[in-house]
Amino acid sequence: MKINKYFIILLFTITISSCEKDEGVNNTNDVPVIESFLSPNNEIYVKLSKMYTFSENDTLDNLSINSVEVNIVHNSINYILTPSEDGTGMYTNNDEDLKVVVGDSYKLFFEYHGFDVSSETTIPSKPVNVSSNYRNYTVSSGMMGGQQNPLTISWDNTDNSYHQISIKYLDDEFDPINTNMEEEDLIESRIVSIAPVSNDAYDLRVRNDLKFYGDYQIIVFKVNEDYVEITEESDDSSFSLSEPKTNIKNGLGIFAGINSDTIQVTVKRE
Amino acid sequence: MNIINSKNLLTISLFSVLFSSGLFSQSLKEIRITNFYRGTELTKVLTGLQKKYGLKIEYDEALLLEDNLKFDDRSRFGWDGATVEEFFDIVCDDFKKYKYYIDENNVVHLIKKGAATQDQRLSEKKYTGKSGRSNITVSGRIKDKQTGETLPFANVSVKGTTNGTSTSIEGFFTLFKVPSDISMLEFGYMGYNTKQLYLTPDKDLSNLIIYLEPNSTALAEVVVVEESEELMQSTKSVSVLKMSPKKLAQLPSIGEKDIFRAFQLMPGVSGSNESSSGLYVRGGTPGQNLILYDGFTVYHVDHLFGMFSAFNSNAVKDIQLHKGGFESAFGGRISSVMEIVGKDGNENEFNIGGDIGLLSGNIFIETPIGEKVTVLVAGRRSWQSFMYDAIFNSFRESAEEETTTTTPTPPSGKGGRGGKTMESTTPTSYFYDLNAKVTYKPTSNDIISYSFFNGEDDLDNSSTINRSRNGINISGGKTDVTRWGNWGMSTTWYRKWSDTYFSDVLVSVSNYFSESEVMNSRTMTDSSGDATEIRRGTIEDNNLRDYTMKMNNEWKISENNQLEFGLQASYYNIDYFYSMNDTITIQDRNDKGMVLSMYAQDKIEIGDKLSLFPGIRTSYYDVTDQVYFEPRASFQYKLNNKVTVKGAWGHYYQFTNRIVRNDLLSGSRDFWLLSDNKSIPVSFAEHFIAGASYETNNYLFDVEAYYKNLDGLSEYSLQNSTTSLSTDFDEYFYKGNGNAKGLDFLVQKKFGNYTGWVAYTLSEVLYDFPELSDNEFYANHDTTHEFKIVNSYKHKDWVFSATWIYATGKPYTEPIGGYTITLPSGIEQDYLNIGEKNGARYPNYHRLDLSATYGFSFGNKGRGNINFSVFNFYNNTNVWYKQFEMEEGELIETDVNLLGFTPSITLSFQLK
Repeated sequence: MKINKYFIILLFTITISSCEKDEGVNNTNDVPVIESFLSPNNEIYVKLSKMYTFSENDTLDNLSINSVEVNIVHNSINYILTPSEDGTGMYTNNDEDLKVVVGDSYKLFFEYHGFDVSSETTIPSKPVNVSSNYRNYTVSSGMMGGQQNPLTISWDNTDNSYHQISIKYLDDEFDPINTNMEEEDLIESRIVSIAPVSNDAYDLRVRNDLKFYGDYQIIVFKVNEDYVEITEESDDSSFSLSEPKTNIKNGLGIFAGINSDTIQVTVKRE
Repeated sequence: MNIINSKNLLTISLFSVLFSSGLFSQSLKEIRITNFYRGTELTKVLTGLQKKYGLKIEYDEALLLEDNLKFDDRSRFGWDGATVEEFFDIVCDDFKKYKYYIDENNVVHLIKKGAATQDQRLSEKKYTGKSGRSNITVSGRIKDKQTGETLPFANVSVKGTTNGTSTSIEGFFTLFKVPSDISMLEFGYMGYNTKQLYLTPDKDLSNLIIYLEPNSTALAEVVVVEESEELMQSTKSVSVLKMSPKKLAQLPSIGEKDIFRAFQLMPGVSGSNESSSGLYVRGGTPGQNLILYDGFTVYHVDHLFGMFSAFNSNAVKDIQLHKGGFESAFGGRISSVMEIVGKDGNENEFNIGGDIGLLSGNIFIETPIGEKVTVLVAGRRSWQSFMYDAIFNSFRESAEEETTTTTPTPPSGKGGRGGKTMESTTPTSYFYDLNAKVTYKPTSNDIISYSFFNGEDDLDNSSTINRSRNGINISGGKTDVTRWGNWGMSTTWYRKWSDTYFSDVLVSVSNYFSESEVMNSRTMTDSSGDATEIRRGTIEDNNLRDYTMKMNNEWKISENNQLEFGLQASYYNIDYFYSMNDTITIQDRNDKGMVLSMYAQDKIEIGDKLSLFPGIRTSYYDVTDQVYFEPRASFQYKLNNKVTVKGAWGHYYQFTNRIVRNDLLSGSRDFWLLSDNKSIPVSFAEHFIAGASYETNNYLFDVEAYYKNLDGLSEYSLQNSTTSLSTDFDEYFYKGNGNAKGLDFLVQKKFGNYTGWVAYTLSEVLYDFPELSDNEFYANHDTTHEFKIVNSYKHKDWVFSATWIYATGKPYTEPIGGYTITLPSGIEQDYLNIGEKNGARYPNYHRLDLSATYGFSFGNKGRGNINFSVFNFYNNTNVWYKQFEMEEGELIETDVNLLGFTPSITLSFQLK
């Protein structure tokens, strides 16, 4: 009986005492966020910033991280990037020897608040034989999007690499196919980006992807798996919220090689 | 209240007249009845017969008076008169609703058809003679008076002592140490009137058949004294709760009386998981509960995204929930056991009944076939009503949101993968369940029963396209079909070898299935006949087959010792297939495994006060090639007639695992897999329970404390995964351990017009999944405080009920920061960074449900009740989950709420 009594007391004590919540929530925004896409078509850049924090005490003023020595290693040679003078946290390359070469690996590293922040990526090859089935794509009047033969963008893809398509509407004035579009939607629809696919074609459809009459720039990016994983949209509900995906050690964000090819198409009235 | 009851007692209690006179020495056969009774009331005729011939006749005077039976022309008697048998043959020929039999003491019993045929009704008066034997053993069966159904787990005791026992699953009992053959015994079963009776020396005390009368079959019916209005019973065993299926109709409902929802009102069972009718018992999850229906395991236990349990209460006779520390006879789960016993069917006459509500219709038929067979069939199906739609949509809307986020979408969230079809779709969705049971009693000691259950949910949101223009034919559409459910059946042979030895053998099969296909397909055929097909979407298919054989034995070795032992062999075959776009196979598993178990447990009574139940279960699991020992024990110590101290401890293993998909909000959200000790460990729990109860005639106070060690827990989370080809999807099973602890309090008022209870649970569930969080975190279902109050008030033909649930918020993971990345396309993508895992809490949950139930009857033509319910009466906004978005560095939270104010009405009717 005695044992039993003590047991109850013990259980009760455990239950009560463990109801206190641990207050030590790590609410710091002192984790560097990296944004850097290395492409043979563009200048090398690395953008560093802090996170926004949702606690009321933090201000949103300047989240850029400016005074860091950002290194890129290519072919075992270390290059130091130059921070921009305007304090935007942008670091660019001034060394002509550092070039983005297809198939090569690049390492990014810097020290931030005592932590070694680093990442590595490889530059994919340029998409091959990017073409569309129409140069001038005519939208049949009165046709619903699903009924018309789509505008198919295709490329060679023997090894099932990931490709991502981005569609940019080039005309200054919007000429919407669906005249009921709201002003806000017009601006938001200027660039449409499709989730990466691993096959060799993608069908663009009127109204879903192609929302305006006029000229489009269609960019086909070849991307690597890190890119696919990190840019995949996650479910932001409290049921399933999880840590953001990143390929940065001791940091957040993305450091990824990409490559691209561009074509143009025009969408016309019948 | 007492006045009413006493009056009622007078009206319908058995009026038994035993008349002794000198004339009785006359043998029954020699009696010749010559009187004329034309136009005389039958009751007067019977009284006359008793006086004149010294006949012993037993009958229910109130019933006879109520039926206004008058005697007709009896000229057919002839000059010689009629024998007693001839006389009663004619009586029963005239009054077709009645029958009679003459027992071995030459007492004529005139009873209504439908009452028991071999009613060995014992004298309810104290036997005044001398007792013949002392310290005797009494055995027999307890049955429902109306239907002849045997009553499992009913109580039998010697009045005024602590000496008692309970019936087996087939209603048999053996009570040792009855002081003498004139002692008074008491028989009780929840929802039935308690019966007390004196033994007499001339009775066969090894084969008593006790009929108990339900007190709630029609609410309009007046009831006898000693009625037990309990809906719920916290039994004397440690952590066992019982529920009366007959009483469920009185509780507030959402269009369906529901077994699981009713259990959620009890202490230790969470009542605030509104979107799940599954049971969260003492920190366990629904997948850790063993749900046995007539002995076989049911894996799919709910309907309509968890709003209703899949068990039709019209087909259920008895339900017991073992909240923890359960005995060795049960294995394979680590949290709790729910034992559901299906109805056998009416033994006496045909009966049909059903319910019609806003949500579904429900019908049951039960009938005897010959003397030895009974059959019961019950079916339920939902229909598309505004109420169904309201509940459906509250889940579906969220589900649609979720669809756009789980299928890979462009980083911008703009545009779409396959594009949306312009065709309008009307989702069709329904659920149904079917129960059937055939019981064959070849002898009084053998029962062979076959039980079948099938429950299923279907959801079809498909649309089709088939158009042709300019020589190009486009066909296809969107397939969005989810079908999930369970079917199972068991055959059981139950045998009573002797008064002290019972066995049963069970063979069963259970099949859980969940198939889901969400696929956009389009076939384009151009004028030259060339066809191109594009398919995008996901296919998921989970199929579990469980083949089980069990044998249980119960041997009452002596008055102080009852040994139970048995064997179980289960073979599992589980397939799980999950693919995307016909190309990426995320999971394709086929698991097979066998569990062989044996158990033994002993109920030992030491003195009058202490009962001990040690037991052991040993299982061999062929997948891991290991033997698992599960020692268990519990005790009860009666300090006095009112206070009992109790405790339990045990080890539990689980080999089949229900994995919940957190990335899905509707449809079939879970799947079953077999432990392999690689990606999915064998789960383990150790329970410690200690408690005490104080019970008076009217009130029960009960407190139990528990602590559970949990190990080998699994979570599967694709939200951390990607759809890339090289992903090893087995990596997304996470392993962890944890502990659960808490205190359950219960105060119950058991009798009277006002009954109800107050339940309070203080609890904590901590998990430790190193891959998911550096620190221990609160489990998703952790609820610190939960308070429930259940009130039921009976006034004439009405029963008014109110239930109120208050629970502190459950935990969730909160975003603490975020950042934006500009992708090469120019699109900006937002990322949220999370704080401590499950470090934040939803707002507290509370809800008041009300109901009013009116009982009515149409004389002998049937009876029924109508229930008006309001769910969430004051329309409290209870948060289901939150949706987060970041805009301009600010966090935008959107609450997705649970069901608001929802009224409903249900009409129930049955013939008998």
